[in-house]
Amino acid sequence: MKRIISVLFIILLLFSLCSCTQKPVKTQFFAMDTIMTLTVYGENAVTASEKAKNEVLRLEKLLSVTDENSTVSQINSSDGKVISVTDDILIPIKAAKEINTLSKGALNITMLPSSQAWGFLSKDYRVPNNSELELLLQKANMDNIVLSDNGVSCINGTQIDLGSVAKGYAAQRIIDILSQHEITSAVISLGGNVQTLGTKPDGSLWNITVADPLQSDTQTAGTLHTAQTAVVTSGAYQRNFDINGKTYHHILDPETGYPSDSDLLSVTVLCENGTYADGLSTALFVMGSEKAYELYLSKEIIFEAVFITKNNEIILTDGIKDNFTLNENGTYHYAESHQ
Amino acid sequence: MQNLTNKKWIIIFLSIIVVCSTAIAVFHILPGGRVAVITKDEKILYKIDLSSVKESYTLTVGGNVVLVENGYISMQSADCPDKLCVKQGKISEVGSIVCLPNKVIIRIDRNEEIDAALR
Repeated sequence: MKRIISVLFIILLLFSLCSCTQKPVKTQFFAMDTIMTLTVYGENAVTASEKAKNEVLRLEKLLSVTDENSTVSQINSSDGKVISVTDDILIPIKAAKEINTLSKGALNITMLPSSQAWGFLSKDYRVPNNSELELLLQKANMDNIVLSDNGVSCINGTQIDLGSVAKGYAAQRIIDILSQHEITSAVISLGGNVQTLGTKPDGSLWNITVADPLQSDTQTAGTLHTAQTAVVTSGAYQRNFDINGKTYHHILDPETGYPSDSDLLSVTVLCENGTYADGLSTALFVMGSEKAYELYLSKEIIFEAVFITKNNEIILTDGIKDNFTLNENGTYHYAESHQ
Repeated sequence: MQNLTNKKWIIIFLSIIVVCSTAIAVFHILPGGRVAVITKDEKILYKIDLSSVKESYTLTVGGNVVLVENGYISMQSADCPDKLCVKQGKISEVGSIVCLPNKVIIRIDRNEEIDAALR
């Protein structure tokens, strides 16, 4: 009898071993002009994922620059009047203002008229001429976004586009909602804007691939191994068009109004907060590796980064030197100066 | 007599271990094939094991035509304005082809080692 019990016990034990490879709940949907994937582990995964998806769909209606009923569009067409807003607008704007200051203007969310001139919103692409861009740049001024106790106003014809922080903010909100549902293990990707919650269920680190900026659809430059963090890449390859054999990409340099022409092919930022990771990646891409590294060393804002330069070099910040595996079959190598 | 029952138990015990570990091994090895999943409007329409495709064929998914080949899958044509999905060419191991305007996704179920891919 004892033996029968002990055998049954062993069988139970083996079965529990089998179920240790816990299957996550995967949710995939379209929102914010991209595809979103939520991978959530744990008991409440189904409910939590559903709530998170609904939150993104709600935020999309507020933050969209193309939806004329969105709060952002209301601000843009208010002619300087104060529009009352919630934290969902205030938090991304405040983050953008802070990054604007830290990056000495490299992130600017008032470039909407310039982006429109290039056709990045309508997808009716063209190359605006110098004088047109100069005129449009006069409206690009972060100081014209005035925050008051209960609202936002954009004065002097300035218009905002939260595109450089909206997905990051949405990712942060998803992670917050998942936490509220006692989820301790999840990884989400909002069109390549990645954020993780905790570690994998077995305690190991998440593996997140960094795209090869020259063959982003098929190749990786390497893999990051991280615990809880937000990870966002900005690169010239993400949205661009060709006219007369020249490629123009969507990250405009606020100083010139032309696509940013720094030494970088892409930059990947790791930061605790999703909104900041998103905004910083755009800022660092425009700044170029040298100024971006200075900002890193200044510790005015805490982040880590993977820079991929036009010389096919990869530069890692000090804090992630042991958390990156280079794709040995790829075209990139570590920069000597930062070994 | 006592010895015989002991042996019997050992055999039972060992066979349980063998059965269970085989089950675990199979469970882990099975998803190793290259399975392409095609979805439209967030619904799964096809699951195709690319390694078992002998002759190429096409599938019509709304306004998109998917070309299925041995080991590869690609978007042959699309009625969307930018045709980014067609320009992307063939995929075989990593990644996915997404036609945002038509909400069609072709994805190859990833290597279990990778949790997310930055774009």
